[in-house]
Amino acid sequence: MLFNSQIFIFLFLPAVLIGWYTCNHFKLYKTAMTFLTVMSLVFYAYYNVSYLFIILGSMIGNFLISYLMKRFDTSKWVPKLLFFIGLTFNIGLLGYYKYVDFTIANINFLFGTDFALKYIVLPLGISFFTLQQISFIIDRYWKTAPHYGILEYFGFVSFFPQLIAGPIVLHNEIIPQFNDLTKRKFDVAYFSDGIILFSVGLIKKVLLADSLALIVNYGFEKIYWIDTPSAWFVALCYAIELYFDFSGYCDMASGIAKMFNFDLPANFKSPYKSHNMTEYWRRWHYTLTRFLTTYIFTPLTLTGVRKGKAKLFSYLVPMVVFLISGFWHGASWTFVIWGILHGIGIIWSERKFWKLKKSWFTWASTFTFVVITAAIFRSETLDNMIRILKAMFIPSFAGFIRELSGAIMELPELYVVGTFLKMRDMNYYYIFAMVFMALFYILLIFILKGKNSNEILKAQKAKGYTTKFTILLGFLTVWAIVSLTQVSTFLYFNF
Amino acid sequence: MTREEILKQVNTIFCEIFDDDSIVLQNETTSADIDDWDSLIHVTIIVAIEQKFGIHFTMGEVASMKNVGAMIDLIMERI
Repeated sequence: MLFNSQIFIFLFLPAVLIGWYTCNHFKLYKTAMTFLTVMSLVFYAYYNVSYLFIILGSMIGNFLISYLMKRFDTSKWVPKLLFFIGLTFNIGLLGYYKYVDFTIANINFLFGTDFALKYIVLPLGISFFTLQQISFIIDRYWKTAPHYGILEYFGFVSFFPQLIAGPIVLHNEIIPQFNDLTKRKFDVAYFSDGIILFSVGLIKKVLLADSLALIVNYGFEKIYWIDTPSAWFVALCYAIELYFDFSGYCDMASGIAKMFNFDLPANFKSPYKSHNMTEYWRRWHYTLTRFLTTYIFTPLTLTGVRKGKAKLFSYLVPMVVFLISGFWHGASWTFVIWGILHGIGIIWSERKFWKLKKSWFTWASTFTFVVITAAIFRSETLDNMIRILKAMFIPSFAGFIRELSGAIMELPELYVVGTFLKMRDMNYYYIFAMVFMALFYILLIFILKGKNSNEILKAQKAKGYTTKFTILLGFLTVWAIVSLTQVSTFLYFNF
Repeated sequence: MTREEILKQVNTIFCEIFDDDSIVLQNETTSADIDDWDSLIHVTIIVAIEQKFGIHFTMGEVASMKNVGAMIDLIMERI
């Protein structure tokens, strides 16, 4: 089920909220938790019932490993063995669904063999719930996590706001909140914060990201026509689309969690205000950065520094981390190249080759780097990637930007004016599209320079929610809900 | 060694690593309070402390060090 669908907003979410607060009102705390977990699984199964067995298998497997770690706590080698079994189980499950076809295709290419592809479809959210459970198994092995009850554990992994595309919540962030019975009461302040965050996220997704997607999708569809200005324009639109899409999703996730009186960790903190790549990764998809830092970067770097090979490891480890990050995003060479470039970006900013003070230059160079790598990230094939990069860096002008801007006229809001202009003169149609895009970009710059969702919420809370803000939010939310006629999934559902 | 003495020695390590004598650590100090305290510097600090006090932290301990106070607690447990 999509957050941005009418069935979710008007049926599923209200039903789960009513069930949750009713059970808690009558002090049926365990029933409430069971209900929430079952409904989370219903939410998941709504996409495809057969995926239910995968997530259940994954949760049962990890729960058993955690249980056996507790059972053989005093043994010297059993927890270590269980830790390796746990890692293999999780990576194996993800590997089967995500990388088998990629591996077969590459073997076929390299050795000229003809193994048939299996065309395995990636189960939704598997990348996220696998990382979440790997972190739990590592924490169990490091003895920084206790063994939880089955209901607590299933509730933690399946909690539907964060199930499909994050944020990657840690056990110690959510389970103590589940167990805090003072949180089981309906809290008007939390609930209204939740509605605000959800609405802001919905507006970001439906009105901003989905509009930019028209340009991006058209540009990649007609990649053979792309010239220099349009290639940069498509890459820029995609970078901004991805931000509004994914951060919008995370705002909605946090908003829904708040409606249940729970907090999820913030995943985005205005990433496009960054002045270097280290700062960028602290502001962009923070919970993924945290996972990679805690479970890969720190252990590897620690080994290197202890062995007196600090310098070598300071180059090697970021590359390993970002190769893994690239591969985690998808089984494609374009993601690997994207990962390598981001690894280099991190090394560049961490080694501080240039000691530059924060200025418009450090901001612009960081943002440009992000836009270029976004073009790679979006390219479905190496061929597409080469085409768009060539167009970006080898000057060519074919006037494609005019037609590309025209893609924005697909917006239902512009249908009437578009039809009218088309009948009058195609030149007017394109001029209108380009002026519209220019104005849209002025708005986007204004939004990106301003406060992010959490900052807006904080500021409005302090002011007691101004009338202007309430009316604007209400108007835009209604607009977004009315626009929910087309099905539009979130970009991060693919990863 | 008292808690204050350990804090003083850890402070010296921080000043050397960050090349900044003005750093004054509190128990509540976290990586958010010092500009350049990134994950690479964090590991450098951990290893410098290990060498200074002749101790060895486990990965679980490294992961659970939330602030300077937690770091000092662990050092006190070990020496």
